[in-house]
Amino acid sequence: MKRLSFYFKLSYSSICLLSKGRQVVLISNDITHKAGSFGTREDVVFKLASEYARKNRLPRLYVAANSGARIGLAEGVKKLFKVAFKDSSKPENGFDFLYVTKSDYETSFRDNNQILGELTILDGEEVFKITDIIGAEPDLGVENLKGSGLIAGETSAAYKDIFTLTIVLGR
Amino acid sequence: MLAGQTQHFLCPCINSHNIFNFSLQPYRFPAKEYCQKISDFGENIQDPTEKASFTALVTPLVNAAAPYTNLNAAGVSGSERALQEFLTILRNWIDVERWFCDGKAYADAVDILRKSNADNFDHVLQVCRTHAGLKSSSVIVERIIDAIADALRVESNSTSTKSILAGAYSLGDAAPCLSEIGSMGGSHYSGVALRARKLLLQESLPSIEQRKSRISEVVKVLTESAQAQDSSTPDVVTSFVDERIPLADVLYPLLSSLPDKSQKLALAELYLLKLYNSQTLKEFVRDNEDMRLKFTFVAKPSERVFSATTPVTSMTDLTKAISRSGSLQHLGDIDGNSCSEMPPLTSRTAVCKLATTFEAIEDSSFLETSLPSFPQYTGTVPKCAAGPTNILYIVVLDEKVDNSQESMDVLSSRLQSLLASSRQRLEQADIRRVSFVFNSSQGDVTDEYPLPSILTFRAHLNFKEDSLFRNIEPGHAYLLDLTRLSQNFTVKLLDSQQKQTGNVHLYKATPRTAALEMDKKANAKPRIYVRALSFVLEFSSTSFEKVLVDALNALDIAVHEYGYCVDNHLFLNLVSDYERIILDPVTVENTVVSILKRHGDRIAALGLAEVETKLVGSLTADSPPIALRMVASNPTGYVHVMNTYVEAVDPSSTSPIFKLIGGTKASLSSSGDSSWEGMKITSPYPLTRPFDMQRKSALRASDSLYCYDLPALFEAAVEKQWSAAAEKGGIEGGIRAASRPFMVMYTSELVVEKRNNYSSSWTMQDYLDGDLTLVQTQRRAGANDVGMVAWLMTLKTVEYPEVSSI
Repeated sequence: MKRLSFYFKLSYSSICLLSKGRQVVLISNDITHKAGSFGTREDVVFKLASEYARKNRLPRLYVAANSGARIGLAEGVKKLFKVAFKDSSKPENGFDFLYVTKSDYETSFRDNNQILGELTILDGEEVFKITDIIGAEPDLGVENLKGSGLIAGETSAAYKDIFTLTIVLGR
Repeated sequence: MLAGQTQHFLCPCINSHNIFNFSLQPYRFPAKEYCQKISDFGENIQDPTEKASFTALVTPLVNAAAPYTNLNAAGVSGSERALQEFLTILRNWIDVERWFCDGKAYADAVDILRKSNADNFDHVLQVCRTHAGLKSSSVIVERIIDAIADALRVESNSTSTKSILAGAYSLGDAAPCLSEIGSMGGSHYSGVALRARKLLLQESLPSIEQRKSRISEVVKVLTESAQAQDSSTPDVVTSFVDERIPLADVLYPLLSSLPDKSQKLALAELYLLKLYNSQTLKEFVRDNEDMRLKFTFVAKPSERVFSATTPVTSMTDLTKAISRSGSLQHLGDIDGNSCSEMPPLTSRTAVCKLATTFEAIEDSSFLETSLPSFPQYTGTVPKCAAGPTNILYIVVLDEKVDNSQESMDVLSSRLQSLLASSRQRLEQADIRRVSFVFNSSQGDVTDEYPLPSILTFRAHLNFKEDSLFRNIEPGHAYLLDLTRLSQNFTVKLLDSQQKQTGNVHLYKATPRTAALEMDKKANAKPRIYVRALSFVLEFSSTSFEKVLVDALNALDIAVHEYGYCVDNHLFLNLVSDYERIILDPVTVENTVVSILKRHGDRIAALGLAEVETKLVGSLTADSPPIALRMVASNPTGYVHVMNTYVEAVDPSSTSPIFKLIGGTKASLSSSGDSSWEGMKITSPYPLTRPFDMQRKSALRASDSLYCYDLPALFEAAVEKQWSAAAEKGGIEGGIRAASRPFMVMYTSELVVEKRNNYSSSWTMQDYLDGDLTLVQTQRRAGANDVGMVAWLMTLKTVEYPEVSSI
């Protein structure tokens, strides 16, 4: 809680010192939503709110409490994937590849682009070896980093245009 | 120019009082007149700017004069001022010593102190240093208590030596402080605590013997008027009932000491008069031989409810809305209302029967002689269509019951079988409930008389005991709103206490399994619900503080004894006479807030998640009464949040609902849990409160706050700034104090929506296509589906109190 009170004092005095604005824009992460991670939609809210502050020449306060860019999980793949261990009695020795059974591939993945790979033989059975996971959900991978780039650019524009203040909580 | 004006109008005032006249007569400074003149003059200024600067200019003067304006004739001048200073000292002392009392080890106390003041170690040091001087500070506190005691004595009979506080107008304000000091435990505090307790006993509660003799006198008058067949109630009796002197604890001692049957019956009548004070009683029939009393009662013009369609954004609006006609409806007009299922103005009959022993009741002739008193039994009056209406009291004189749970249960089943055997006859008499009153022997506590034991059997439960209401005077039971508890919790009475201000009932509430299934993450441990009823006639900060402190003291003991110290709840019902109490809702709200803040640390330490206050009163002399509910909590630990509701009726539904009065703190900042808005007034208490989960998870995940609580922190910061500026004093402080805005912050949420289709969800692609827009809205907290939230906040700061347009 020590850091919190630091934030509290700092923002308090900043309000007192603001020379032009009685209006301020406050932006904050919701730490209770997907562990406070940044997906592209979070980035859009941030970007638009910050733009609003710049357009109206208002101070922009940002209370950051987050877990960084989102690393998503493709739930459909997560449910069905299996591991081809080098030695199934000793998983610590590592594995050769990930796969889904042929029947799972046929029913779940044949007609969409969720996984890429090839059919191969494992222990005399035909399985689909996974080489790439694309997933069905949005915001699973690098697009989140693209969003992070968007808000980084926005923040540096705001830094130039208006008064900005960011407090990082929960680190 | 202003200074000149001020001089101009003060001069005649000074001259007329001839302030420079050096006569030997003790001269009293005409403070009252000065204040009056100043306020008169201020009201006559037309130009608002000039008026504001005038107010600012004279504020220090008015403040200085104020303590001298209310002075009793016999008093020492300036005593009010001295009293206020003393009270400040006492409050500061309590604030410091609260951390160390009740036998805490010094190291533990310091540890807790450090944890709660993690951001302010200077304060911790200060408190510890102050505590180090406990020995000498106790002496000072004792001296102050002595001075207050002396002053109280002077007021009652003038002696030659006068305390410095003699005649101070608000001497009664000392009571809450004294009661807090009196509740302090631990060997270092015993001397001070004892002194405070003694004074409280001496001065506030008329001693038991005094009370008994007073009641005996009233009973005598009542007996005489009964014998004279006088239909009107004697004045002495009416005034006694209005005085709210506690009677229940001395009921049995008096019953046994009164010589004859007629007087015993008169005492029972007095007891019932007090119980039914909010009803109109008439047609008393007394049968001294059979020790039977019968009367009929009608509810007084009932409290009204506010129409939910009337827009109200602030307390001031409420006053206006009430004074317009048409926005109020009779509570009784609404069908199926929970408080009174009966149509209004139903004449109901109550019979009170005094029996000597238990065997006498079990005798079959007992009910046979009592029941014909009910008109429905003999068929002279038709039964009420809405259900049974009548009430039977049976007061058992010579039987003492053990107040333990087990023996009460045995007694209960015995009485139940008795009633079951005569159920038909009870139904024929249209009886709604039967209450048995017994003398209870409560262990070995001898300095206080135990309250009588009361068991109530209700018709709608097939004359089974309503154990929720055991030991509660049945006429008061509905005031405790216990039905709101029983749906989600298994409720058990822990303790009932009679205090000078009213009754405090403590319940252990264990979440029901069914309720836990609905709310899986709720805390399944039992918690304590405190229900306090106060019968104080007028509302003032002192009376409210007394009630609060009494309830907190009762809870303190229970928390120590049972150890339930999370999610507790306190409900204060300030019961008054509907017609008589006139209140200004703004003042009421401010009073409640400031007193709850004063006791904030203690409330938090007792694990009280919520303090709910109910108050019924009229806004003006000729407007109908309304019911206000103030729900205070401190969910973040940083900011006190208060939501005020008025009980309103929605034309589309039949039962009254809570209507949030907008403009109360933090409700506009979208951080308040306006969680009761639109809910029925009978809706059960939830196991968890909204956002408890989010708050806990935010705390766990990152040691931070839930984002929707942030705006309230800003609001608190700005308010603090205003208070600090006003406290500076001088002309500047005066200007600040006078120009402080009612609301220091307005907030709206900035929400991203699709340009053409605002209800559908959107993605990054929509942004890249340029289809998204940012809109300002007011939506409830936690309505976000994105992990990023933004607000536009308008802060009225000290530097910039006026809002500019965007």
